[in-house]
Amino acid sequence: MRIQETKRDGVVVVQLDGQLHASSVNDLEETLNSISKWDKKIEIDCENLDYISSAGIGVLIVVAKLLEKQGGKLVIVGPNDRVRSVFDMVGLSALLPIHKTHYEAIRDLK
Amino acid sequence: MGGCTVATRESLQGTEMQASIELRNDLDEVVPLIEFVREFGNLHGLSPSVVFDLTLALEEVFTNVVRHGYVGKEPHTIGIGLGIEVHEVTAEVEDDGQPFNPLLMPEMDISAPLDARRGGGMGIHLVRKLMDEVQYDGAGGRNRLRLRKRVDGPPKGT
Repeated sequence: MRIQETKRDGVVVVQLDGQLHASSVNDLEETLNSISKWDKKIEIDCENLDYISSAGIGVLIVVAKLLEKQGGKLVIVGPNDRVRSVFDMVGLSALLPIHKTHYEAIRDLK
Repeated sequence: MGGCTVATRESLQGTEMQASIELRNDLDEVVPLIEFVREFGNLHGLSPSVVFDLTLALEEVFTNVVRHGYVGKEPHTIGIGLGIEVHEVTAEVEDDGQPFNPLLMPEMDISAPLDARRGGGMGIHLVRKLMDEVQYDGAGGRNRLRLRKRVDGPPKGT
């Protein structure tokens, strides 16, 4: 899985391309741990994410909790239907916001 | 091993596995696992949706075994099988780790708020939601978990 980190409209956007599974999750964990030291508002762009398992969702939950404690937030943008259905199976949308577009995410994060 | 145990194994082996792979107890083996399911899906004309669900369920079972099935650092082999009949795909995970029936785990509380949620514990919950049937057999000192999922129409290429 490819991870691209950019800053857009004042928010750190972490774009995930490919498959987030138990073998590709370590990179994401390291990246988010590193970002969250300085940036407390993080957008996870899932538009090019083809697959996710509980390993990846677990990392997102842990980081979301950490940021929330520090007055920050983690939001998810643009998951496809299948990835969205996995989120729904574990009740993720009740824990952190899932937006369709980056622009909605910006409004949420500011 | 008594006759009763053998009968249980035979009844769980009602579907013949048409493809199998052996993986090491290492999370990096998720990569060949995903490829294994993808190839099986291609060969048998499974829909992308079924392949996705099957892959995810198998990953969750496999990673549970890797993380919790063994004490110590020795290598072990985990067997994955896939089989297909007219309206059903069957997957099987077999390991020689500590006896563990994941079906005995309590249901996850998906309504728990963020600060009560851990980063783990979602795997078996997902397997139950993704698959139509899940069976466990611990006979002969091996864990065997069988997953079944109904698929529409006759499979192509068989």
